[in-house]
Amino acid sequence: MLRGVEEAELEAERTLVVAAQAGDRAATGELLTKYGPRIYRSVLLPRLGSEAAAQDALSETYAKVVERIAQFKWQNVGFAPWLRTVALRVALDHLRAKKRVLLWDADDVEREIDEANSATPIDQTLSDHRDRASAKSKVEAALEKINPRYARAIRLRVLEERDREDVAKTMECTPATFDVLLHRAMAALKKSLTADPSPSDSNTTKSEAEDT
Amino acid sequence: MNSRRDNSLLDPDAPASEEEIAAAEELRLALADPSRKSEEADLARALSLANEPREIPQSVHDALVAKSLEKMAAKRASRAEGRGRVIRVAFGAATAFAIAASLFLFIRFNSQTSQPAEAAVAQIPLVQVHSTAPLFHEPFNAATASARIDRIAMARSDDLRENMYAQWGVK
Repeated sequence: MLRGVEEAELEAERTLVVAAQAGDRAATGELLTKYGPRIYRSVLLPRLGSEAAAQDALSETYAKVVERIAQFKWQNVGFAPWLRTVALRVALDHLRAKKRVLLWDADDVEREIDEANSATPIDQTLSDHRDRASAKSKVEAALEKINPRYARAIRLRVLEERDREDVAKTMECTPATFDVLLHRAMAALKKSLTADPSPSDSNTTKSEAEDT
Repeated sequence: MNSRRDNSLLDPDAPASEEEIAAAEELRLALADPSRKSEEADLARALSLANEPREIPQSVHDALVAKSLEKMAAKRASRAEGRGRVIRVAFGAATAFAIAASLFLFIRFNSQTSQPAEAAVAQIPLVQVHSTAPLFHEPFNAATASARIDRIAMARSDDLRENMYAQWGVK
């Protein structure tokens, strides 16, 4: 029964793709609206690390889709894996041109593009979950490379977005001391990412601080 | 200075320098105000967005879709215009070709129609230059008047007429 529903959805999507390839704007708009926001959230935003950059990248992704949709060959896995690959390629271009330190670097995304054709799940929700989990583990891997106290400061203030005074109290210091702690934490993280830009690829997760 | 800084990156409890205190204040302000330029604040935001990515605002997404669809329409229009231009060029070229072909056929037809006459000319032997002796049987008497010159003129006129008819193909 479920398979029947999936097949019907795939068939409906195929009809949309065929219409989009024939130049139907409404069909193209429907495809972009269905998958674009998910691609933004699970692929572009984590990799590019800023809303402005991710929105630019999504715009470029859409431009490429419009330009190349005639070249897309339907392979019974839906439209989303192709859109994800296009978005990854755009993200790769952005990362190659980037001037700031980010969690992902161009090599990471190149690897993801290589894997994308065979490893992107057909189910969009599953694909999103995988991308989200991958992003979280990337963050954790990066934090594991710095002093645990620094990692804690970043978790509380940046990831959990807790109030500065509240975090200072939790960490048993004054707000001003916490400011210095957070600055040191970010500097240590930046140094760690610059030294090894692929935190998730390394098996060494102990911080230099712990070794000393 | 660098070793002191490296030390502070390793030791959270190391005493803070004036420089660190200033940088910490700058980070605090930049986290509160995204318009302030700070690499550390940018990295902090990147971490936050990777850990908990936000939805794209609906209005922003709608605008991006509308923009790409406008480009799609513009592209199709320019392609159609290109096709129209190609059709006009092709039509012009075909017209020029047709005119050239008709001219060629006209000239060829005319030359073909004149060919039988030329062929006839080639086939019909023209009267060649010849002696006037056969026109005269009586002996020439220089002391008396004669019609010899008239006879020669008439004979040559006949030759000329015969040759002209032969050239015109009416013979």
